[in-house]
Amino acid sequence: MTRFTTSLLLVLVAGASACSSDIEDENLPDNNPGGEETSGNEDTTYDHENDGKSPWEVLAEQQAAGPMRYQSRIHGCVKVRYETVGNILTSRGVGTNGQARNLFTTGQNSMGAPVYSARIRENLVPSTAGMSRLFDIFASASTEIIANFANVDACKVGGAAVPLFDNGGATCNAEAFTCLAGTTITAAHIDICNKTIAGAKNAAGNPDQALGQRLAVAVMLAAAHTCE
Amino acid sequence: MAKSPFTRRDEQRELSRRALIKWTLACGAGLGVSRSKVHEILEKHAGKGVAAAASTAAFCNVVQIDEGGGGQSNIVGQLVPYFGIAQAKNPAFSWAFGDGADQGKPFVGTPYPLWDYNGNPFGHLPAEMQVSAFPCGSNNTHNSNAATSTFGLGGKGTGAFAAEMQVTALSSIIPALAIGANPGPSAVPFASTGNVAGAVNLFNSVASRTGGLLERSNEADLYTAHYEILSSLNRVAKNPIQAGAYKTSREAAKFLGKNLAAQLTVTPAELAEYGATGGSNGIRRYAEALAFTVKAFQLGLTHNIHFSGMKNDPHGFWDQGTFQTEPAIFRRVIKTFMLKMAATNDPLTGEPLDRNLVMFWQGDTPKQARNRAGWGDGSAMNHNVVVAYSSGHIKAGWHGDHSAAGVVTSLDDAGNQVAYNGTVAAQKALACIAYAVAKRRARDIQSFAGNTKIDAQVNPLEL
Repeated sequence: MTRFTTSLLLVLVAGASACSSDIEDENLPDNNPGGEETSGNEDTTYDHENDGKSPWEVLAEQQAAGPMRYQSRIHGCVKVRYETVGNILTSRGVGTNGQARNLFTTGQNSMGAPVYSARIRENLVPSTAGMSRLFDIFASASTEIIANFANVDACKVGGAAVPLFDNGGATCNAEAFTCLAGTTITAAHIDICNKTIAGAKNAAGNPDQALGQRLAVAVMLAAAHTCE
Repeated sequence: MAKSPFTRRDEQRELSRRALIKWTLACGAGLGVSRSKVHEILEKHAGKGVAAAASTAAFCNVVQIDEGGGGQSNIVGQLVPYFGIAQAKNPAFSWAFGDGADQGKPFVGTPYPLWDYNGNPFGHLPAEMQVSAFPCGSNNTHNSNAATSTFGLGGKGTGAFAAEMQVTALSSIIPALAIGANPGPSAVPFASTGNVAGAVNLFNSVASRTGGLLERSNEADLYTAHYEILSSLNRVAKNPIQAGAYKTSREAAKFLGKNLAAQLTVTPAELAEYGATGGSNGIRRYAEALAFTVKAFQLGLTHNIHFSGMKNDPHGFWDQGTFQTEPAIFRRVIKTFMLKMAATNDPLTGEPLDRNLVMFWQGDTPKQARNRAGWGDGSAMNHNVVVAYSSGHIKAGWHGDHSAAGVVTSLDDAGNQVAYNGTVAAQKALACIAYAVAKRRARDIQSFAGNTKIDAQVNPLEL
């Protein structure tokens, strides 16, 4: 091989590698022949899904769900309107003067309530600040809701109050939480609710059932009222 | 030409990489971990490339200040004087710059004319970092909400568009925050509060306070984890239509257990440091908002703050004793903010915050520049004004002028002063500001600015 041919080959090789310079060398396996393994493994290949759905399954799912325009109507997730939050609190035993009510009345701005005087409509999209305030309200309201639940007419069955918690306060009652959430509570929800009660601990690290009940009410309300 | 498998792979990797960066930084902010620590973690576990990418901010932080009820006149009257008016040094004109006989001089080295004076809050910055001012739009006397009607493109304000750009690449707890201001329509929901105390309260959940339900980390973690499980039980939570809302809500659930009020509260000592203690309500509002802004940007809690500044209607201001003191206080507040921003590093880039900032003022009316006695409403040729600090992305100086004879000009496509055209000038001004937020990437602002020609008014992207 002449010197010219050698140089030409080197230039071509350099040119070829320049064309693929967008690949980060540091992430590529060392493929020197005779050295390390040349076949790929978990650490040296791109991490991609091998166990995903087939395109036909995805297509079938999409066809069953309907076009996006239709889905947006039936599955849209606008935030719960400010006025509705107030109604929920009132109808579920939250008083007019407590901490939760105060958080609600002072939370108009952050919760995106309408300001008619400035011609600002209600914000329909949830914001981090708005949702934080909503969850904060539910956290504060949990004490009042637990205390007053027996008097909440909307949640009585046949005129009789349903307890929020069963088994000495250790588990959540599905009927009561269905009323609280305004939507059907499944066994899976109740399982999480129970685990929330069991998981709460006091400052000394011991199980704290009362704290757990408050947490359970707060988190169940938050999850149920993420979307209107 | 079809993309090679390697290119496609790299694109896919870039997407997942971006998601990793975004979520890691958001988690870091939510958990109170410093950005530098997050970068260390990223470098250790995801590689140097990812850490380096994470430390580059794609967009500037934005501060938008609305001046209503006659308030915009304070900006040209006390902060950034019209060049033509200042140069005339006419005691009958509505302005007060310099000290005593020293009424200032042209700023040396700015691409467009700009007036410099003792006490100039931006005077410590080099020529290329000076403010830009635009005669543009139309006068809206006493209108407190001219943000999108006068200073919007397609009904959208620049700050709102900036928020939409920012969320594509920047992570934060609250993408955009409006303090006593109306940002107008935006695809990105602004957290809205009436004042700075309300803004602090956004980061001061009752649940996270002492004695609160989530006071201890065990309960906060339990709450977050179980909220996530409960939300995942909703079968359509991953549907693209709901995914965004659930993502926001999960962030909120995480954030509920954090309390940053102590770090964000603006103290009387800080107000004194800003020199606002003896100032008017407007000055105090400015100082509170700006002091809060430094802290919020420093903690990476948000990248976009829109607040209401002056709401006064300063007719007769130059006949009152306050004109002797108020401008100096106002300038000190702004200067203190700029110095604090310069002394505080951006948690994302490590650069001083003032190098990654677009701050702009817009409002109702600049008032009559040649009527000191009454500082009357209205303006020459019915013009309005936008002033912007752009970290050097927009060419500094007045993009047009208000002459001593009362003639207002704006710039044409080539950057020459031409007869005032408020609509075209406003389009250019807003496009320039968006361009600055996008750090000179013209393509990023096309959906907002269209084909508005601003080459003569901005500094080019350096490749």
